[in-house]
Amino acid sequence: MTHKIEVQVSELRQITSWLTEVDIEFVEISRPGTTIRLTAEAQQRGALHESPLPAVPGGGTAAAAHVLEGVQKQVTTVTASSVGIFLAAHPARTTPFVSVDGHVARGDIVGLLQIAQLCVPVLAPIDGRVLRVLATHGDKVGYGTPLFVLAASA
Amino acid sequence: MTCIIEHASIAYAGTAGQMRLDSERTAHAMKQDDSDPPLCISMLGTTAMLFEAPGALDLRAQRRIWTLAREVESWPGVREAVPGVTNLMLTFSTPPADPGLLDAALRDAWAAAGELQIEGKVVELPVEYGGEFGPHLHDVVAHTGLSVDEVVQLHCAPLYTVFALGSHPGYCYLGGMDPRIATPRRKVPVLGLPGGAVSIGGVQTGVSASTGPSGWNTIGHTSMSFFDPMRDNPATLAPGDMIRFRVERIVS
Amino acid sequence: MIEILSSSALATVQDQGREGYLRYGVGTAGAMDRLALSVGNLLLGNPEDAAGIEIPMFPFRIRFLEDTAFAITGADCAARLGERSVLPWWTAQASKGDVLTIGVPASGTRCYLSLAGGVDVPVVLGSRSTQLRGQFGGYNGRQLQKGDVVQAVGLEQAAPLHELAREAGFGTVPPEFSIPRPLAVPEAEATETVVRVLPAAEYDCYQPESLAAFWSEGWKVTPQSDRYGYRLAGPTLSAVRVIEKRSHGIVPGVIQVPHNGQPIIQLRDAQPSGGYPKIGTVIEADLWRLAQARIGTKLRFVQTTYPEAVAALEDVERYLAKVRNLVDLFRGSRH
Repeated sequence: MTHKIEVQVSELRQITSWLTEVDIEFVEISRPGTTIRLTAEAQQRGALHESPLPAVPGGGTAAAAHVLEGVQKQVTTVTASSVGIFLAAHPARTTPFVSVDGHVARGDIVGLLQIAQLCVPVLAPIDGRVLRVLATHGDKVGYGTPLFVLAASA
Repeated sequence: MTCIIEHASIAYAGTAGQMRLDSERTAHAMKQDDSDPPLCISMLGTTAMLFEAPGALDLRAQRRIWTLAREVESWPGVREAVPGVTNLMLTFSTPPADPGLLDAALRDAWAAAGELQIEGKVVELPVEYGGEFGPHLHDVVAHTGLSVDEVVQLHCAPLYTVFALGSHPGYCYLGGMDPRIATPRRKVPVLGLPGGAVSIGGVQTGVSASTGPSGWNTIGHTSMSFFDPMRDNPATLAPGDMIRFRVERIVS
Repeated sequence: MIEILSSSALATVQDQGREGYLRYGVGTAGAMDRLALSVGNLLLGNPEDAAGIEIPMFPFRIRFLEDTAFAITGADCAARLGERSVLPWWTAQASKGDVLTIGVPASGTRCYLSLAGGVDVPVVLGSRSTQLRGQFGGYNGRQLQKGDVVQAVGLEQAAPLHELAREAGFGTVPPEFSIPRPLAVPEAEATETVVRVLPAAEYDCYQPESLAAFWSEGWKVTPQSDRYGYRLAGPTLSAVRVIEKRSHGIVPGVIQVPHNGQPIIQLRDAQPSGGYPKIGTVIEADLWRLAQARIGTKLRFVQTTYPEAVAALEDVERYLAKVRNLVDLFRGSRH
């Protein structure tokens, strides 16, 4: 059963411009009975500011926004548990623990926090897929600094 | 001062950069006579210091080394005093801040060291000479020009003094072998020589205390136990003890 | 408690070494890479003198017969606990039945398996190190064999750990990234191991060309190299005269030159005394680097001074002290 969904164009414009500014792939907005999920697709990003946005996304032509009715997708941000230096790979190795689109299991080591001579693991709290790697190898991070965004496995 | 002592002082002084390849020093080294070496103190990294007594290889010098060892073993920073054949190695628990001071103290202690008279025990070892366990007896015969009986007689005649232990657990460096039966070390060492092997290497003789390789000439076998790790004093023999070899049998 | 699954692995139980019995002809034995063993013990909160298992040949497999905390340090050997990979220089928790597989290292040549509380074998002459000649100490005085069951002393557990953190473990930055590395002149290749050397008593007895070659050439670690010593191949070192030394004490790191002019670095299972001339001694602070030099690779010797060698030891101590403090804080704060 489809509903006619009335969305404020200006609101959508605001949200999509914010999307591109912070370089996040998607955002969800929940309303009673409805969840809107906006996904910024890479090749469209540059055009988002200019192209007109559909008033009714369900029937629209812009590829920049998708609305999923009643669908909730779980997303988790993995954050640093303390101050330290974020390591995407172990000091003795060159391959990073994970990369975007890689799959992880709950408890997998996805990165390290170097605190002086100690290496503390950053763990995946859920089974899922790596959506974003937010920190770069060598970054100084603080408690709570977001490091990864994971999507739960379907 | 000999070249080696100068060299050792430079090592302590901590001069940075490449050491000069001093042709004078090399020339001096060429003149050394190993049968009558000078007093020499050198470092083994930061882990130990080696004191080499001057003069002939004899019991007089060795007794003074025993005295030196007793004096030095309780010095601060010294982990162990390890006598060798007319020499002494001091291992460190912590490396000395100034090895030059330790060097000087060692020289003083040596100058003051009398001959330690140890009332050692005399141990008689029955030896089966030749045969399966004395495979190189004939090489000694060939080298010395003596007969089997003469070699055995000359080997059994002296009362040997244990100068020091080393090489492997319980092994004794013995002094007093007759130079007439001296035979050079072998070009190819024998692996897996059993404990109890009685051998001649150069001017020295000894008995191996456990299975291992040896480049010496094995002339016989004895079945004494030289080491028991479960004992507080694990070695059967100590510096100052004496050994006499007794002919049990000569296998031709 | 663990069971050895591999045969002929040359693995031995070692601690920091057996000190104080050189005068009985008993060498120190002990871990070739004492730094790696120390870090393994620190990660677990073990006593400093706890023994571990030195693994010089790969692959090496063991099965945990009980839940045990363990650590892997030394060469990075792509270790796996069951299907899960274990990072190098790391401690983690094993469950009863888990099989630990230690693979072929990408670099380095030996690694250390430490167990909670240390390996439980009798102390003989003050140490749990294996004395192969004489066959005492360690595990029945011999190398470990398939089927051997090795006990761990065990440790009083600290505050219970969050399940994920306990299983995932933690580790240290490897010492090669934390302790300043000696520099060779001319510069060493990436595959060469650089170690500092202090000249020894017979240094001046060598021809100037030999001395120049000693410091500038790469010395190949031949296949005849092991815990007893590293036999090196390179230019012939010629003395100005035949040198006959009386038998005297030596320590690990002493570089002897036998008649063929090819140097041998005496190591942990070497005879504690000998009569060959000595050209130099690899400094104690660099023995752990030497221990990780693979057969077929080359060594470079760098001349150093006594004060520099002592300072290098302090660098190692400082690293260990930092690791000790951090691990104490981390273990204390985990719950």
